[in-house]
Amino acid sequence: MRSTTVATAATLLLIAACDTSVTNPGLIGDDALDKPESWSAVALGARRALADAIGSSGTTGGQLLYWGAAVSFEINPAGSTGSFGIPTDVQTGLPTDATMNADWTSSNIARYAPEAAVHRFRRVMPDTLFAKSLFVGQAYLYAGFANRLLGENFCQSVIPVETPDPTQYRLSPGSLGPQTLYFQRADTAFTNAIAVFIASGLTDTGTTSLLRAAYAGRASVRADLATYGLAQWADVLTDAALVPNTAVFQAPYAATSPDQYNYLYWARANQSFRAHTQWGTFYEGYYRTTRDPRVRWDTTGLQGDAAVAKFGGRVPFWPEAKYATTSAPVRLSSGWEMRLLEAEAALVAGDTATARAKMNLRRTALTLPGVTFTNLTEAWTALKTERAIELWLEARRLGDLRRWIDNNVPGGYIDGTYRGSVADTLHAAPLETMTAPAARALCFPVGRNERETNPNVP
Amino acid sequence: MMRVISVPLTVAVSVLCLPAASRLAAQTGTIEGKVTSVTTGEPIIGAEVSLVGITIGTRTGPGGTFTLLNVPVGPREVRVLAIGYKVASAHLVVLPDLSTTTTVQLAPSVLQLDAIIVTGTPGQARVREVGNSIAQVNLSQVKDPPANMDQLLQARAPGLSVMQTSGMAGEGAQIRLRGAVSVSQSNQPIIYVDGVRVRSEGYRRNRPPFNDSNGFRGGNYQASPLNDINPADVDRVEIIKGAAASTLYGTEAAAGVIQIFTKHGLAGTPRWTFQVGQGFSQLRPFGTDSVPYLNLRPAGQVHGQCHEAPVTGCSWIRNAYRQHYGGSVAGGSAGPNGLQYFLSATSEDNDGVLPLDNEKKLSTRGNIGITLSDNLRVEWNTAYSNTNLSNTPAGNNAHGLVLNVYRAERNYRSSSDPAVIDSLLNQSLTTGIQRLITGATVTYTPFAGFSNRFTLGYDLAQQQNHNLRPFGFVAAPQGILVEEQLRYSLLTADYVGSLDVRLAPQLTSTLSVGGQAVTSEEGRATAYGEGFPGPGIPVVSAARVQLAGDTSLRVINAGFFVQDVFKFRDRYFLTGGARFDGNSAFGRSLGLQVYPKISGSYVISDEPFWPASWGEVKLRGALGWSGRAPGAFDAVRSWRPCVSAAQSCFLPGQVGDTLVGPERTREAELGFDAALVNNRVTVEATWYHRLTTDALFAIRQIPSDGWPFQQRSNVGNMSNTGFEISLDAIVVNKPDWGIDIGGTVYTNHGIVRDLGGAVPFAAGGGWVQVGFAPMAARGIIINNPNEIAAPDTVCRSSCTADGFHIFGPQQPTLVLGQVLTVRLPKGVTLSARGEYQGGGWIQDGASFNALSRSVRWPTCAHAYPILYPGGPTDSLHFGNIPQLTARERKECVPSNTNADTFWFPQDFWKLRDVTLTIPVGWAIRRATSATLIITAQNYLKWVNDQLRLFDPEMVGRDALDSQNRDISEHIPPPAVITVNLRVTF
Repeated sequence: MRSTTVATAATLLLIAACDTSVTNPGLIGDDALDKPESWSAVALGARRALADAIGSSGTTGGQLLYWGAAVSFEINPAGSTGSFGIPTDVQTGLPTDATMNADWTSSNIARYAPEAAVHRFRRVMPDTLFAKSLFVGQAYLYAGFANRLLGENFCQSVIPVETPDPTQYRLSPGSLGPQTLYFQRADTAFTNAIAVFIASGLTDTGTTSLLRAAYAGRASVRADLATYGLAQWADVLTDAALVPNTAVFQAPYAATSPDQYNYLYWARANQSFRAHTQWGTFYEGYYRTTRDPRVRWDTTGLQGDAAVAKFGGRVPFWPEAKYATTSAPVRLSSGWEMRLLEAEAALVAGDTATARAKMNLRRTALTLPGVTFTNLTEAWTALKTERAIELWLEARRLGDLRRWIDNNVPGGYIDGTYRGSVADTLHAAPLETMTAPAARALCFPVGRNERETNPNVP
Repeated sequence: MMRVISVPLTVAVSVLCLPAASRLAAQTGTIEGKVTSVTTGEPIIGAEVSLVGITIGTRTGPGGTFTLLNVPVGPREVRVLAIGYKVASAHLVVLPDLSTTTTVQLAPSVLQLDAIIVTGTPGQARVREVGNSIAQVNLSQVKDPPANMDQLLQARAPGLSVMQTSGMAGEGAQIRLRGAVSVSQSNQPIIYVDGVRVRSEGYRRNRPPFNDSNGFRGGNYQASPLNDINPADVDRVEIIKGAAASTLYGTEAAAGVIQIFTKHGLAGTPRWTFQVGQGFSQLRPFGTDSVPYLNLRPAGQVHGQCHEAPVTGCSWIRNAYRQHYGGSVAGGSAGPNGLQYFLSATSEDNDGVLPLDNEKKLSTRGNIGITLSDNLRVEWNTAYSNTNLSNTPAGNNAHGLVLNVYRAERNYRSSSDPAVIDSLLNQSLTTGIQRLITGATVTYTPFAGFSNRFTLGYDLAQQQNHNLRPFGFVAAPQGILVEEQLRYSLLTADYVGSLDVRLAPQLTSTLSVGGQAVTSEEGRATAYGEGFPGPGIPVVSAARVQLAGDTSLRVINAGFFVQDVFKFRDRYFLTGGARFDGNSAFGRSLGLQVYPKISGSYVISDEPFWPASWGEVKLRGALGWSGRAPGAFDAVRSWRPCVSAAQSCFLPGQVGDTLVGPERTREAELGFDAALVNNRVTVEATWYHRLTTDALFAIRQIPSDGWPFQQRSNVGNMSNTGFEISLDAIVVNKPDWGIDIGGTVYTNHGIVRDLGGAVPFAAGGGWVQVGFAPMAARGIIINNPNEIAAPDTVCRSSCTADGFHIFGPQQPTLVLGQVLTVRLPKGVTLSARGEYQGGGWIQDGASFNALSRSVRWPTCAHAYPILYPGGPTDSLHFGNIPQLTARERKECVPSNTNADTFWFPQDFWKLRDVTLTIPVGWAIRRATSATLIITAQNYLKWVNDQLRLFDPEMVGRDALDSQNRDISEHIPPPAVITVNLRVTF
């Protein structure tokens, strides 16, 4: 009897040993995203990925806004170099490819997520729905902004090659190319987004906002391309004209979870980091003089959380106040940027009067004195300064600097350190410029992780 | 807080069973006897006496005498086994209601070839039959009373590396057997307690989730589940070090197996043992001469504890009081329906050297053995422990004490004023761990030579992390609270059947078959609250921001095995077997995995031609395979749920590999065990070679392809080679005194052989490149560190493709152990154990973190007067940089700092313990024995000159499971001085 019991137990055990299948909760299988009830989340994943790439505290979040601001003197370092601080190589203006690993990864997720979403929607949606679905339109829209983010911030492009396969989105490793490929890819994505939003036939506020964002996005990348001679300024003007002054489209952040916090704000939120300051930047003096709300910063009476090698000690902690909460959104496009593109197009055509008028629209709305210049070169300087102010801390500055400097666009630059040391006083002219030989980077290197994994990228 | 089972219940259940001991069978007699040494005639105390074929046994008492009651009448064989002697038997006839007497003489045997071991074998096996090396730690031979299981194992056996990880209360140690077998998976050995598989991976750190500054806001250390086991309950530990021996454990056993056997009762009168220990922990210097404790204690301390009176000149560290009290009782009845029991309880209360550190632990155990009939026996072992930890915020924690003290006036509070820093201690970090390990083993022997063993075991651990920075906390004024509940369980079902068959007069075979299923579950629920309305004791539901998270993970591993041992003339042994495994983490198309094994042993000294004067020698060799399963999600292409401004979303997660399977480790070993020079010298030597194929490497995805996370895939090969030698010698052996010395040598050289086409990659803080050690230390070499010159950082040898230098492995390649025991008159002994670990590299992240933030750091004391001639408030004089050495230019000029230059050799030696043991039984009435033990652990150390600060045994964070060694802002393990009194009645 006992032998039978033991033998039975042993047999049951051996049988049980054959079934080891388990489905664990947490991650979601790829097939589940094909279902219509998942489509909204698929499209919004693209938005989240873009916000992460610009700068969130998420697991795969990047700091493109933050690093770009530090390299281009939009902010100055005030302390920590790790965690929420500014690494020493970024402080010196020459980020290494290793420093850029996380940013390169997050930016590529931001590009991949919407592009994979488009491919998925094309596979699982009826053709008639695909052509007008707002999910598809949003995926295209965020693909456009992600490609623009990459093109305006990274020195080169690496775009994987799609392998034709109707059943899944298969990619082969890409090769190094010019960053303008991202602009062209963004142009196509914005164009597709516009087509879908129009095909939707919807004219509600939300859809209109999305449509204007697509026009504004396309105008901005066409301006990038036009500076390189790869697009027409006339096309920029066509799109810009469709975007009213007050139109704004933003990447959202949220206070409900620290991984959705606006990273730039959080890095200076005094918990415990006080990693950057407006002390010693152009914006310190400009805001003191004008009180232009676009570049507002606060005094705190505190110092940064660590000594800054560049200044030889601790510096005052005067944090930017554009982003005053963890949930502060970052602008992706706006009507006011369109007015400056119209001003820039006018300057390209040598029309300083129109440029002045376009630039002063915003200043007038803010009850600020208008820009002044006496010649075309000064006009360009004014235009560059206005864009620096208008697009301050929006991950756009490096892209502007690079396209202008690469193409020898006339005019000067405001960028530079206006204080040389802790004890120094505010100078009237920059001590450093972006254009000095072997000065600061105008773009970020492709992440070292790409070189170390992609056989096509030496 | 949910309790698993109350302590009184455990004890009550055990005690209620005791009356069964009074039931006796009819037709029995008694055996009385004495056990003596054949060489000296001295009685042997503590020898195990048992009856062959009947579950009756006891131990010899004072005078070497024993009594076996209720022995069924008839011819019987008494078997006697004692440490240090060969097994011996006596044959006699038991008569009804009469006492039969016998004397058994034991011949010395240092090798213990007839001792029984069970780890790595299907059932029980004699040491002589086993072809692989197996390390044993017998508590009866351990001089210093270990504070925990980590300490019990430390420096006890070659091939076993136990590295402490910091000085925090509750901190666990990193354990490696013959180095690392896996790059991406845990290298912690799996652990069994009395045949029941228990958790071996570290507990989750008490840290805020949701990326609250990367989860650093806590004590930043990891507690070890191994330390839930009370070392006072342990009888012995068996350690098998790799696949050559662990094949029968299957997919999870490539990193080796540690099996702990707790004490059991033996028939006889109850034996009561009480133990009390008092002592203190003391931090030893780890800084430079000017700041030996790196600001934690001023060189000229003039005031007391900073947390009590924070004024200049106070100390943040203390001599921390430790105390423990324990008791146990063992006994039972013999014969059919006899019951043996071992019950114990221990209470500990140990302060840590940091102000808020404390560990309180209560452990109980009830081990019951019942003989239901001549061929059926049940063992039921249950242990329960309750641990409460309180910790000081430490590690790489901007809200922590240690980091901010180290960085003085350039810390996150901008002040070295103790009163300012003390405000950081206004937080609460507590961890509660309740652990229940219970298991029952039924052994059924229907007839001689056929045995069946069925084990059902359950290990349940529950952990509560409480992490509070209250309203008004200086660095988070509105407060942050995290409450976390974790549950870990392991359910083990194990069957093994063995059949002995006589194939020829001198050839027997033992055929074993069995199966095992292990179900592992982990669940975690976290509540996070930020922003409270005011002071008071907060709850998460009162917070302005409330977040919740949960995870759940279940993994099943199941398999079966077959093994046959052929035994010829009781000196030639050949073992062959195989294990077949399935695992829920395997890819769908993978199916069962097969792990074969073969081993042999040859007791050459039993040959007729072998002169007895040459001593005992056993030759052995083994070849076996084992594995490590991939992660639970590795086989699946999956997406991460996310939230974007209050709307649900998906982000790319794991790219998935449908073919992923276990990495397979093949291990070969050859060796011998010898007892020479009249058993005064024993030598064990083993050469081993491991080859891990289908190695699971966490392959980085190409970032431009859009999938962010590394994907574990079976792509590479790596190997480990080394040897282990242990030598013990009785140097002086006089009647009243003697000197014993011992030493161990252990080497381990790992190399990555193939990456399966993948390019070299960084993973987990190490570098993986063909031709170098797995998880190697990669960084920037300074070729001319002490020259007054620009740093020469060109890599000229051992280089990566992008010009970095590969310094070497992060795990030690050479471990040397030293033991000295001086036996003095009246049973007094003085012993000492030392351990050297060398060949590994460690990254000093704490120094880099400080220097890159312009913190004034003691390693730059020479450079600062040059860089800042006007004093600490002066700006850096860049023009003076040429006056510095190359290393100073890289480390002391903040803008030049680079973490890649902060790699240093971690070679160190520590005096693990010095112990004085004094028998004091004469001083305590009615005591069978009493021993006073005074011990000092880790009091002395030597660290190589290049590592100018800290201690190689301070890595913290998730150190138990991690591959890399990285010093963070922690304290090193303190020295511990204790006085223990153990009394047996």
